Amino acid sequence: MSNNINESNVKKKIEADDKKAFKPFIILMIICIIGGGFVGFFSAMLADNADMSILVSYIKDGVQNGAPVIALITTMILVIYAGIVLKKVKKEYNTSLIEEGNDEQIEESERKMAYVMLFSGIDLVVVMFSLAAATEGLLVSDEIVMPLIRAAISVFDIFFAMFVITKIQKQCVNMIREVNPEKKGSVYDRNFPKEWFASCDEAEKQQIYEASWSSYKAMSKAINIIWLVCIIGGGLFGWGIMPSFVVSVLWLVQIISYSANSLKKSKKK
Amino acid sequence: MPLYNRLKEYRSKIDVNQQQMGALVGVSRQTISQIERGDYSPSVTLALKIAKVFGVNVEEIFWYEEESVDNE
Repeated sequence: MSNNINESNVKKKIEADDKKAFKPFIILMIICIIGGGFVGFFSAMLADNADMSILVSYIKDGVQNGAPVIALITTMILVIYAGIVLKKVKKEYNTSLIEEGNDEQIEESERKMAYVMLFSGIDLVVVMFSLAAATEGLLVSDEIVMPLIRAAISVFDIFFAMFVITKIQKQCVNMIREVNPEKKGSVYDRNFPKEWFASCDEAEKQQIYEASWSSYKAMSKAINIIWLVCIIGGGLFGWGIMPSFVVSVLWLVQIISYSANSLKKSKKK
Repeated sequence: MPLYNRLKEYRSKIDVNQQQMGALVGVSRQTISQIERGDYSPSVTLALKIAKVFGVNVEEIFWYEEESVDNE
């Protein structure tokens, strides 16, 4: 009898929560549908505008020609920034801090290295994009000289950036390993991420899990926004279906990998 | 429910630093530091390992207090 009462109470709670959240959900859906309608309408109007086509062409040329140079500049900025920061960290971050119990200095140094690694990651993305932008239409273009120059600069950027980023990562990892000898892995090893993760303890793994969850949520939002941009771009600028297809593939990979791993984790060991 | 601990106090009794303590129980210096600050609650396994190092019951090192609820 008491089980039936409990079950009934739980069902009532669930219905009450759904009822409470339903109204704001419907309002949000209506706003999105109306907003989407406006965006689509104005996109169609702008698509007929000849000035818009010229503007888009200028932007495309600017990005294609500027991207390799910008990528080179960002890598140079990374070299200077990392050089200054890591030189300072090398002086302050050592095993004597542990003996002194100087947690604050240790954490400050590790935070600085984390920022350097973050900017390295951003630079890598910029350089990869630059290569894609610079080589777009390379084999089908009527021009020869400019596309080849752009491609050459981008290829140089890639090699230069990979060298810089690998060196930065090696320096950071080795400094951390000197102060934390339980950490394992060499940046030159293909299995480095796996070995490093395996050498993390429960608290460090917990941090990684929480950061991964935040990243998953951010990616979900970003994918939704980018998908919308692809639809507008397809209608307004004639991007075709490839951008939407790529975003959809990434979305599927995210959903399927998350669900598959959740199912795997929920099984009995 | 915050988890309180006397880890630093017990650690100083046996004169080990955080890194040595971490090595004894198989975790990093940072984890010991986070536990002592109350920023991380150890797993049951880790808490038991820590207690075993000092030869005491786990409740002598870790305890929690219910957060007080305001009576309306």
